[in-house]
Amino acid sequence: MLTDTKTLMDERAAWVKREAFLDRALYDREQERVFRRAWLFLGHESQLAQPRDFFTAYMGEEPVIVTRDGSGQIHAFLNTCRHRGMRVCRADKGNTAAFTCSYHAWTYDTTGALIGVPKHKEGYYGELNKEEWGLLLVAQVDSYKGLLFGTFDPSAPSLRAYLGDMAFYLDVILDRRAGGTELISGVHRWVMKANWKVAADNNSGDWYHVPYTHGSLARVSARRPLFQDLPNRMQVSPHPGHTLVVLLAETPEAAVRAVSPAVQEYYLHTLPETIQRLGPVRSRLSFVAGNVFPNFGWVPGSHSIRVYHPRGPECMEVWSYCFVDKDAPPEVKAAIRQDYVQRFGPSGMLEQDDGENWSQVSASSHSSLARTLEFNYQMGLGHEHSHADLPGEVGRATGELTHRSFYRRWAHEMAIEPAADGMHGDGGDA
Amino acid sequence: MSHERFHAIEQFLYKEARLLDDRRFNDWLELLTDDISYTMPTRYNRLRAGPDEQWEVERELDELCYFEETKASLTQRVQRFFSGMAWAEEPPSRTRHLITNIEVLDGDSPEEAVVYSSFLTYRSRLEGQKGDEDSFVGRREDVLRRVNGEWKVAKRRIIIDAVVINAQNLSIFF
Repeated sequence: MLTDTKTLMDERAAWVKREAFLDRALYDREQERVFRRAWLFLGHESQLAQPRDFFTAYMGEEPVIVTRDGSGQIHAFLNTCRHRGMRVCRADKGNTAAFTCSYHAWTYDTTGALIGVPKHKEGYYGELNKEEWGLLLVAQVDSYKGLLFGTFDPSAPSLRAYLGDMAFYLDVILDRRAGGTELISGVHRWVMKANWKVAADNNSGDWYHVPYTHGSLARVSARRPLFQDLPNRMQVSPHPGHTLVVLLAETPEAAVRAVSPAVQEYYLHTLPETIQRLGPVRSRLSFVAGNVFPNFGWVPGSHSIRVYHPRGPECMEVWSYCFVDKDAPPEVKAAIRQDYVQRFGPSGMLEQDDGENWSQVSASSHSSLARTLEFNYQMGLGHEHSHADLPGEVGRATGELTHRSFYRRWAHEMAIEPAADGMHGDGGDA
Repeated sequence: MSHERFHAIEQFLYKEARLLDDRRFNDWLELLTDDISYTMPTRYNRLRAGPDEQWEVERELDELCYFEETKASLTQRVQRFFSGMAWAEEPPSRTRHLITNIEVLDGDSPEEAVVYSSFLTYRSRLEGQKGDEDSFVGRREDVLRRVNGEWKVAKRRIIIDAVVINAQNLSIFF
């Protein structure tokens, strides 16, 4: 077990010790310092179309229920009965006026309030104060343009402040049409045997892996140009820990890079509205991939957003969703759904190979000697710059600026004091 | 339903399983009609009572599936395996498709049959330890069609029993 966090990474995050992806005590500290304080993605408002709709989700390892109450307000609370801890809702989604625990039938309404206790008079002599025993509320729940987030920290800054300038880029997806976005019904859920950060650091903006990890698709499809190095494709960190890869095209038309002709045509057709809504810079942006700290990944080119839920030091559960413009015609939504499934989710021709790589990263790192090594994140170090049109720290797409932003933020949240040395770990002291 | 017809279809399913396990994927594609619909819906836990009572796999397929394939997309998936860069299957996994509970019903025409079967598909990958071993269980709802005297799969819905796929990927066929 690692006891001295000073040797975990350097202050620029040019290297990070493999222990950060393996150690149980660090993992437990992450649960407390990262997942109990950050704003975490819960789902999309479109999953709660009707009053009393609900779905279940996770905030890190914490199971939560997200509801729309009878008056339309959205709530989130821990999915564990306050009496004896039973999971009060065991369905993934549905519509209900109340959640009744299957153990002793304590019953909670869609705001989380305890409204029913069997034998309240006979057993408790009327002395149980129901107001004190509602489901544990997620301290803050808020929406950003349809995306629902929650945090367990009552003193956390607002969601808008948390996103910072990342919102500038999220709008490229969320705000291109007046109707906003919605999710295709259904969630891809699967398990990878690797630490959640292995996926988050890749999703932060790892363009470097695309031509090789995903080289098979380039070989069998006509999509080879997608894999080229282009000078206007860049890594950006608009806010500490929030990152993306983006392509700034010459024209709005050139930024439209859909996979299927039907989707391409739809985006071109709706471009005047998008230009009007997003303005001259953002309508030229193609948002390739990115990550909202800590674990909310974006792959907008394939219409996927996903959460990498921690499940122990060497395991994660991926929840991947497919989003579409709400006002897109049904045949365009169907084409987007089909494109997504070809590339992402556990069967996706791109994502299959990520699963293999990430699992083996973990499997080949946890032995006694291998775990003392570090991962190298030095690509492009010192070559970060600013950009006249793009907020944030900017670098070449083929770089590791986004990874370093992620780990510096992680170290900050974890209260880890990094080593001053830049380019090398000191090896073998763990 | 004649015994001969049942036997021929049963043998067809076993042969198909053998081709997949032997990684003869191009030969396997030959067993699919050109208009095949090959899907695997996502599953979820639902309340038995309530407005959501229709069994989720009976719904129309406007939901996210794990597979939503045509002959062209299945062909591309197979071609990918032979690119030398399909890392999920490079080196290839070893699979065993166990097919059981076969039920053959009349189809829409004499040339078609509705066939239900259950599967337990085992995958051993690399050293076959520590997460390199997976089992997938479910049912297939097929429409088989006789084309030039040979049975082919014209439609397959794969009803996997897991809500959370307990594997790093679905890089094999069912």
